[in-house]
Amino acid sequence: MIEINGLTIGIIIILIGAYGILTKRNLIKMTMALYVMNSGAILFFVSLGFRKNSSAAILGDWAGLVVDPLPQAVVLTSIVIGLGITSLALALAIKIYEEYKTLDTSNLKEK
Amino acid sequence: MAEHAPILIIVFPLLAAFLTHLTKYVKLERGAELVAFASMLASLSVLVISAPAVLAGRVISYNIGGWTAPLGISLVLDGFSFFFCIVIVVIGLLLILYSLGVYLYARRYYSLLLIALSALFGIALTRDLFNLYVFFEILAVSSYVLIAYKRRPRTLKASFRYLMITESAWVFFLLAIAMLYGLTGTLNMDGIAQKIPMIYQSSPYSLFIIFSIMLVAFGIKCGMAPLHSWIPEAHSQAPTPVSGLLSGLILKAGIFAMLRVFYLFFVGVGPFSTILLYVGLITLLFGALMALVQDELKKLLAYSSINQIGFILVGIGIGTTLGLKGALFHLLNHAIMKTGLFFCAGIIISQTGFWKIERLRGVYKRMPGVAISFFLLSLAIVGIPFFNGFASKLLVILATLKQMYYIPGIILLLGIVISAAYYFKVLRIFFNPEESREVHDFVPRPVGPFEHFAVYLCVVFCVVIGIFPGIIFPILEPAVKVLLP
Repeated sequence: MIEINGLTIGIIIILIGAYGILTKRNLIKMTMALYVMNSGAILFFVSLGFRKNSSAAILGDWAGLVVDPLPQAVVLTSIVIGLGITSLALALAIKIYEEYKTLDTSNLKEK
Repeated sequence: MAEHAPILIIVFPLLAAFLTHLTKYVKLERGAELVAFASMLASLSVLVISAPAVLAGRVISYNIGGWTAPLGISLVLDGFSFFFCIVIVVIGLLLILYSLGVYLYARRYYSLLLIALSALFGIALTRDLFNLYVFFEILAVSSYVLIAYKRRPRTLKASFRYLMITESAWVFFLLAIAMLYGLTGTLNMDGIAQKIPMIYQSSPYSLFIIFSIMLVAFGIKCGMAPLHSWIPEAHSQAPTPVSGLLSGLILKAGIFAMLRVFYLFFVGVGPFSTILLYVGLITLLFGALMALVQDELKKLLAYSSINQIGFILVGIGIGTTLGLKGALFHLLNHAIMKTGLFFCAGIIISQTGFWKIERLRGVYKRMPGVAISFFLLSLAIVGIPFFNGFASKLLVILATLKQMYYIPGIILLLGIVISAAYYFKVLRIFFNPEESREVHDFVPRPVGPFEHFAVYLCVVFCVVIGIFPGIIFPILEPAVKVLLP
């Protein structure tokens, strides 16, 4: 019996994104799939630090258990990186559309 | 000064990347170029100052913000990262020198180039796994923009393809980092390396998964055979100095990070070097055979890069000190030779406007200096004696024979023969006595002295290192000693 938690859901989301990248032929949809993959990895990473019934690791009220703060700090950086990559991919998609008048990869003939 | 060396090497180009944009407020002719050149010279001088300590075997480590190793990010300058920093500085200066002659490149171009170079320094120096990922992403983003710099239809397509392939692999790399963090509770490479034997006892399969993800991620960066599909398009469509950056440094960054991570984590774990040996042989033969059938000059050079990367991977895969020495030596040599060859190709294409090889018949009459440089550089890359390619290829082949790998040794020789075939095919067309009379409406871009100077400098490096290979060994031996003590 596989336990359903952030880790398994993260892996499933990554695989959904990978399916999208492999099968979709539209540049915007491929970019979306890439961002879905990135979100899955982020969910996986942040779930590593999760502990049941514990509070945030902020100085002040240390009431018992706290979650691991490092994955949260790390994940912030990778969210920003994912945003940068996605916006760059969309900018490239717009430029490709301006040149070829299509977003379908199978129609991007040599020019 | 010396104890701050690791951070200073990264900071100089990064600072200059932002200063280049400010030069438009200063009344200074070509300010951006000056800033770019000065920052690389500053990094070089820091390296030179710290050289005596590092080459004597000392390790200079620097904790960012004063946070010590398990919590903070530490940068380490040891023999191995020193070697790669030298490669980055040499190629970076050559790239900036070549770009100086091309007035096409604006401030934005120099800014992006400097960001890429500073990310490369970061990859060389960091000891934090997540920090390595971040530097690779900085490098990747700036290289996507640099490839698409001219905004022609095919460059945009090449850039988008490179982005999709690399980023989907690096998502999995992030997953591998997360798994390692979950298993060890730290992101510091030394800290993880200490706990690897314990994990190998308790859950070996998770380590195998992490190993295979990292192999694919670094393999895409360095152009291993089944994962190379972004290389030919990106290398041939990028502007010439960016082709040099891709082939000379970005592929090498993949190899560098692979060596760094694998030698820290997976030495005792599995047969990782045997996998690299056979993957390297496939890469070598594949690149060589594909280069034979190319009809575009820059695509041929791109497939030749895959061929030479195979050579380096075989040298790593042998797993002995001699093989590693040959591989690292070839890494340096290939960076110089291939950058020079791309510069030659860039000058020839910008003068004639032809991309196809057969239309460049008799090009030596119009550009004797560039054609002869191309000839000398291709002799070097094939591995003719008295050029630098010979010394490093000899070391790799000797290492294979010493370990009784006879069939890989024969395949290496076969790869050399095929590479001679495709380079001499190009040379036969270049030095054909009858000149191509094909006319098309094309305005040649004026080529200045800087571009020629950069090409000749590459040739001089190749010949000097080829005749005196001993001048490289003082920086090569500490690098090998870090990996295989």
